[in-house]
Parts: sequence; C-alpha cells; structure tokens
Amino acid sequence: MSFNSIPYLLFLPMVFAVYWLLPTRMWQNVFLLAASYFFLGFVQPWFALLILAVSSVNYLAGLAMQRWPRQKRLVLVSALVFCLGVLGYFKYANFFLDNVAALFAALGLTTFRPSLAVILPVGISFYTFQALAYSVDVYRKRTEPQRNFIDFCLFISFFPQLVAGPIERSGDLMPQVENRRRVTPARINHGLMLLCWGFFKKMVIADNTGLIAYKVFSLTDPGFYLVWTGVFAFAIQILADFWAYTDIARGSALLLGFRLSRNFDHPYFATSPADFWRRWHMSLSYWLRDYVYIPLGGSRVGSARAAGNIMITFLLSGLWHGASWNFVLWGGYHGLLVLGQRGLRKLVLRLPLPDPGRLRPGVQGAKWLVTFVLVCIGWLMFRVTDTDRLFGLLHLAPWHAGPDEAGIAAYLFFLSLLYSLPIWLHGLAHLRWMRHHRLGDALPDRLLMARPLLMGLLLLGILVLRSPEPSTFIYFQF
Amino acid sequence: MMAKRHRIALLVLVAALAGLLVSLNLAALVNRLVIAPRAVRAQQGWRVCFSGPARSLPVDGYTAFLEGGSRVGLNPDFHHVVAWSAWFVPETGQYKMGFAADGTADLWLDGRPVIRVRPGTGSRHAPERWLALRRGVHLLRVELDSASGGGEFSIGVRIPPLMRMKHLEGDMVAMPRLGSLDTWWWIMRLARPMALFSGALAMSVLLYLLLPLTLAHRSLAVSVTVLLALAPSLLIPDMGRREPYIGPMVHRELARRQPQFVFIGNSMLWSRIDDNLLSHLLGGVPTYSIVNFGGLSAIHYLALKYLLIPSNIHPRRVFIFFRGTTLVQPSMRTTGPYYEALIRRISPGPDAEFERLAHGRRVSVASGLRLALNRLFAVQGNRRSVRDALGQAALFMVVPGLDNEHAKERQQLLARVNERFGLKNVGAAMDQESMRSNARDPLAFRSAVNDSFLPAIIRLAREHDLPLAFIRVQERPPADGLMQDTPEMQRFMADLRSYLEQNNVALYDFTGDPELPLAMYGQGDHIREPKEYTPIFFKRVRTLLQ
Repeated sequence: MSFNSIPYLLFLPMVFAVYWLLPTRMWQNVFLLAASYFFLGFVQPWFALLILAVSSVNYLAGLAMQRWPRQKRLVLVSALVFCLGVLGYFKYANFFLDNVAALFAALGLTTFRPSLAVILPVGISFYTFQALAYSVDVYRKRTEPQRNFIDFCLFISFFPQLVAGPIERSGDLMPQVENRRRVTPARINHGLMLLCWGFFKKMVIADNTGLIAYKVFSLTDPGFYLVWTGVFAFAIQILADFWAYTDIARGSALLLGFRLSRNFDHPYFATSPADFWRRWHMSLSYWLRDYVYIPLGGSRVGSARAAGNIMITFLLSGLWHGASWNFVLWGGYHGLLVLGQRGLRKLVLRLPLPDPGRLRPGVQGAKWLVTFVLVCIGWLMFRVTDTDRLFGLLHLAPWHAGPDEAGIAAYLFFLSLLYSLPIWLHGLAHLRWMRHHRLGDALPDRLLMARPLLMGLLLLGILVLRSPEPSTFIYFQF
Repeated sequence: MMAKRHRIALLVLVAALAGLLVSLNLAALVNRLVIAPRAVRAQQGWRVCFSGPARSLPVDGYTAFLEGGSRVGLNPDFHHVVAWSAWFVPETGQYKMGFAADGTADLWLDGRPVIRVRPGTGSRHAPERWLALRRGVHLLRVELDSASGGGEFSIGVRIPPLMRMKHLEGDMVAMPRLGSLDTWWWIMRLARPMALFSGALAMSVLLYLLLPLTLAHRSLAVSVTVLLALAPSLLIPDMGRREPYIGPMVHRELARRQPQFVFIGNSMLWSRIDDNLLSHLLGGVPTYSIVNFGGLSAIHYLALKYLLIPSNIHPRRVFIFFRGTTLVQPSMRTTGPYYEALIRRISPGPDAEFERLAHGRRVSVASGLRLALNRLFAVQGNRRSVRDALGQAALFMVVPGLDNEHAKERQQLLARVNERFGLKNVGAAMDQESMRSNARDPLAFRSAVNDSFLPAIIRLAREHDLPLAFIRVQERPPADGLMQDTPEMQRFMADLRSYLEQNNVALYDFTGDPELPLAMYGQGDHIREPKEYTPIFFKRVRTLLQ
C-alpha cells in the first residue's frame, strides 16, 4: 500500500480510530501488528509471511543468545546468514546469476542460465537491516532481548516505517513499543504537519520534477544540456520523494503516539561529500557506520586499510540500493569522493593559506556548489540503470547538443527550480533561523497557531499544483 | 480515559471508513472476482477492464508522457502525445479492426502498424482493415498526437460471425460471450452514492475528533479551519472561470443585418463560404455565418440555441456544415480548455440537454449545488491557470522581457520544447494516458442518432420555425480521382438522409463532386480560397437558397 494512495488515506484514519479505542497497550500492539501485516500483505499476502519468518528467527536468536551465552556467536551468525540469505535470494539472486553467466560467456563458455521468477518483497532491505541490527545489539549486550513476541514483531514491522524506513534501532523504537503511548494535542498537531509537508513534497515537488526527469531520460538522443537538466530534476525528485516518505511515516507514527528518527537534514546544503552522507538517508548511513564501517576497523587503522573500509562501506551502500552495476558504481563513486575529500583536507591543512575565517562565506558557497555538482553527477549513475547508456551520457560534452537545446534545458531547469522552491526556502530558513526550531519538528508552543495556517498553505499547494501524473515512491523498489 | 463521545465518534469513523473502503473498491472487486475470470474463461475480449477511477485504463505501459501547450509535459489539456496499450484475446479467425482518432494516430498490433490516421487525409470516419488473428493474446498499442486538446480515439473490432462493431474501451467490457453484465453494472453504480455518503460522514467525524485535539480553543480551531477551507478562493479569486457570453453581441449583429440565410459550422464553413460573395450572388440577400472554430455537433447545437434563436430573426433557412459521422458523435470536442471556453462563450450557463448528451450528466439540484460549490471553492477551476503561470514564469526566466518581441520568442521556445519531446524523439519509454473513447459506433447511424445532438437540433429548429439544411462537406479527395465513400459510410449517409427526410430536413452531400478537385484544397479538409468554393455552393444548393 502506497502512502500516496486512496487506500492509505482510508487505512490511516481507520487504524487511528480503532487504535485509540482499544483499552490496553497489549491490544493496541496486537492491532497495530495486524494492521502492519495487512499493510504489507495488501499487494502480496506472502510478503507478510516472509517478514514473520525474519521476525521469528531474530526473536529466537535474541532469546537464544541470552539463554546460551557461550554459543551466542554461532546464534548470531545463524541469524545473520538467514537474514542475508533471504535478502540475497530475493534481491540479488538474478543479478548474481546474470553476472556469473556473463563471466562464463566472456571466457567463451556457454552456460545454462536459470532465470528465477522472483518478486522483490516490499521493504525487505529495510526490515532485514533493522532485524540484523537488533541481533547484533543483543550480541553486543547493547540491548536486552525482547521476550514478548508480539512486541518484537511490531518493532520489526511497524507499518509507517516498514516499506522505506527510517531504519530504527531497538534502543529507540523498542521502548516505545513496550510502553503505553499517549496522545497529546502537540503530537497530533506535529503529526498532521508532517503529513501535510510530506504529501506536498511528494505530490507537488517530486511528481512534477520527476515528470521532467522522466521526459528527458525518455529521449532517444538527449544532448549535454538536457541530460544535466534531467539530472537536476531527478536530484530534486529523489530528495523530495524519499524525504516525503519519511515525513509521512513520521507523521503517521506520531498520530499513533510513536516517534521515528529523522532521515534527512537538508542534504543539498551539504558542503562536503562526507557532510552529504551525514544528512542524506541518515538512518542507513548510521547503520552502515555502526554495523559495517566501525566493525571493519573504521579510521583507527592504517590509512590504506581505512580507505579500504570506506570503499567497502560505500560499495555495500550502493549494492543495498539495487542489484545493478550502476548502483555499485554510484556507491563506489561516493566512496571515492569521501576519500578525495579526506586527501584534499590533509593537503589544504599543509598549505600556507590565509585565515579561512575571512574567506568564510565565499569558501562555504564554493564548497556547497562543488558538493552539489558532485552529488548530481552521482545521481546520473543512480538514474540510468543501463551502463552502456550511462557511459554514453557521461561522455557528452557541451558541443553535443542541438541548436535549441540550451534554451529548452534552461526552461526545464527553471521549471524544476520553481517547483522545488519550497525545499530550497525551507533549507535556507533552516540554515539561517531554525537551527533549534526545525519546521519538521516541534514548533514552540507560542507558534502553535501558525501550524494550521502553514498546513492550509500546503494543502492549497497540493490542490493546485499537484502533478497530473502521480507516481510511486522511488525507494519502494529498494 | 477517553470521553464517551470520543469513543462513539471513533466507532462511527470506523464504520464510515469501512463503507468507503468497500464502495471505492467495489468496481475493482467485481472486475477481479466476476468479470476477469469470465474473460479468461471466454478467452475473448479485454482481460482486465474495470478499475477504480473512471478514467484509469488497464495498461501495461508507463505513466503518461504528455505535452501541454505552455505547460509542456505537465498537463494534457492542449497538445498531448500518448501511447496506450492493452491486450486483445480473440479466437482464431478473420477480424475487421476499425480505428478513429482526433489527430495523428497509429494503431499497432503485435508490434506492427495496422492502421494509420493522419489529419488532413480526409479520414474522419474510422478506417478499417481485415486481420487474420490466431487464438491467444495480442498486444494492441495506440500512439496518438493530438494538438487540439480533448483528443479522442476509438478502436472497434468486428467480431465474426455477426460482424457487428464492438468498441473496445478501458472502462467497458467488450466480451461477446459473457452474457449480460447488467446486474453487476448496477451494483457498481451503487458504489458512487455509497462512497459519497461514507466519505462525508468520515470527514465530519475526523474533523470533530481532530480539531479539539489539535488546539486548545475549539472556536478558534473552527475559525481557522473555515478560513483554511475558504483560503483557496480568497487567495485565488475566481479568475477566468466565466468567459464573457457573446450572445447579446451576436443577437445585435443578427438583428442589424437581418440575414435571410444563416450558416453554422466550424473552419470547414469558414474556409468555404464567403458571405459577401454569396450575398452578391443572391442578388443582395444578406447572409451570416456563425463560425466556431473546431466545434462539432455539440457546439452547433449551442450556437443554434443561444446565438441564433434568441436573436428573434427569421431566416429563410439555416445551414449546418458537417463532416463524416460527427453529427452523431455528441461528446467529440467538448472537453479541454479551448472547447470549454468556447462553450462558455456561446452559452449563458449549463445546458441540461448538452450536459446529458455530451457528458452523460443530468442537471439537477445536486449538480447545481456542486456547481455553486465549485464557484465558491475555485481551486480546481483555477488549477490550470496557476500551473500555466508557473510554466510562464519559467519561460520568462529564460527569455525575460515584457514587449511583444520577447513574448513571441517565448512562444517559439515553447514550440521548440514541444517539438523536442514529440513522439518521434522518445524511445521505448512511452506511456499511457487515460483516454476517452467513443462509446458508440458512429457508423451505426440508427443506434447512435438518439443519443446525439441531431434530434435536439431538429426539434429546436422546428419549434422556432427555422427551415434547416445540413451540408456535408467533401473531405480532402485523393490526388488521382474523385472522393468515394466506403460501403459503411454510404450506408451511414443513406440512413442519415432517410432520417432527415422523415423530419423534413434537407441534406446536401458534396462528396464526390467533380468540381472540387484536390487542387482546391489547402491544409487538410480546408478549401484554400472561399471565393472559389462559394459559387459552386451557390450553384449546387440553389434550390435551398430560395
């Protein structure tokens, strides 16, 4: 079930109504679990069985690690193998078989390539990572194993964050599952605000700029200017799309008394590649940092190995997004950017440059621009899944363009810019005034009345400017 | 502990939402549980037909690829390019496939082009082609490039042994072996009132529940919500929703000229009749042409009713010009901003007959209320204007300047954008758009006439004592000979003639006229020079010009 669909607009109020009617936390949890499984099984009922299996294995693993501490490594490895096996089969089996067949073909060997008719279960990348993190945390004794099976299943499958995150840690979400939730005017208010802002970002910004990107990448022979305008439109689309999902998830959760983590912090205002990853899909970045990068040794090893750790982490991040070489390339590219940034930083520190404080606004501006352009280059790799076409587009030069193309591209660029203006203004306001009072989070009480007005404007924007061509969330495919 | 009234409200909300859920999915459920299995069993017709929203077609394509005038790519209102595909599952046999479209269009079957329609080829009626098909699944694909807005296409297939034309539609089932679906159809029609009721109930309860929770002061909260509901109308005034009604101006002009012959038509009339010349040929008898560019029978009906009749003149005869089968295609060219604006210009308000025939809507108290609400809450009506303004702002950023030169340059840029994203420049990633298709076979005159504007036009003329004549213009003839109708079209014309004779209405058909060679034609079916055509017209229909 997609958030931007009529069924969800019916589903959420219905869950809200029944949920708050139930007398005890236990019944509320049972109902939320049933609702979450219905939400997931709405498309394919067996998706719910799969998440039940993943939940059961990790639940039992947690209990087993506590019961048999000497065998806990074995138990953990078993749970990891199961979770990664499920993820690998459903997400990467065909990719693996394709590449093995291609490798043999390159060696001159013909092979029989069995094709697996596998449907990628919705949200599998997110909930397997959440379950894995739980098992690792129990292993590291950072969290106590959950004894209540219903509570545990709800922690894994809580419907607002089920399909596209944020990936929650047991330390954050589990206590909320275990304790009675309260409904307060402020929470309802905040939740509704997040829902409005999320729907606006999806239906107005993401869907309109997405249409521009789609048109550009549908062309058989786009020239240089059009390609990069399409990339700009796609950069806006993917941010607005994914951020919208997170906001709707957080808003829905708040209506039910839960608080979910933030996933974005104005990533296009980042001033370096590493800064970008601290702001983009934060729950995945921190997950990879805590469960891949640091266990590999992080930066507390020799510089060559630290560089290797960074590359492994980013390559995995790319592969997590999709079973395709363009995603691996995208991950590797970002790994190289972060390494390049580190190298450059060491070099700059050695140079006799004037006091950076005096150049600050200009330097910051330049750093922002360079980072944004580099991130956009990455988005081209993300958008174009056919690697031959991708390299063809990357080789385009400014003179590879038709006579009118610059004007056409400029028009589409400004159209994308106008549609995305609220995101840029929000970011600027955030930078300038709202460090401590973020729009997405609680406004001070004295500004409570500002919310309905702001919500009214957002609803008006949705009514007037929504795209005639709604699309599904991009991150649903991951 | 939650207050009792809140608990009751929550229970009502659950019931209302359950009702809404069921009613919104009723059509899809019936389709999935009843119609699709029957279609699979019958192995004939569309495999998947009904879906929730009325205009959503079952397709295996992509999201729409649209071009929209100044709103390029974002709005289908004007120029749009679409591709649409669906499955056709026949038994083995010979089938005759017909395809009509309002614009440039191709029909593909299993990756091969089958029928092509081009504007200006004179093929306003459906070209047909025999096809030998094997039992199984065949992929149909339509590519349409419409520059006029409100474009339409229809695909029909004559299925053996009766060879009766069955129109294939997205929201209708064309499965001859399924038996009657009337019961299910009625069940599905119940879904709409059920959804409206449940939705209104759910919305009321939600407001009741959320408002007190959201803010401390209920009265303040209610005020804010009311303000929010009205904000769109306050922020965006009801601009451009009502085109100036030109009726009084036309009435004055007709009263002043007192024409003896009045002509109603579109550019076919405009490119054929020169009023001054005809008046001269008639020895100074005044004539007057009411031309509504692009208009077809629906527009002619409104022009007759609201422009000619209220002027209280009594011409000797009223001529209505038409092409092909358009007299019995009531909904053609009635949608899209251009035609909607045209309709508002020539009619003072919603016309019950027009709404019924063109859109299948009844004008009632409820529809009046809806109209009033729409006017109060002007968001939907102004959506186009706002999106258009955004597109114009983007254009202005590329070509700044307020003078005419810059405005022209902006329009040229827009044209180049449209051309760049035209059908020929996009790859396989083409998409679908929900499209309207004609529900009836226009060539089957007798089944189509009662739901067309023709009886209404004749009745109006009779009630106001206006002798009527229909003139069928000749479409663009072939280069190597005279224009000839297909047998189906000949049958259609015979039926039309007989119908008009029964109603004491004259008809003249210019098709096949040897004095109208290709050399006389300009673009499409238009005559290059009205002065060349007018004397021929005068000569041919002299008896009607008495």
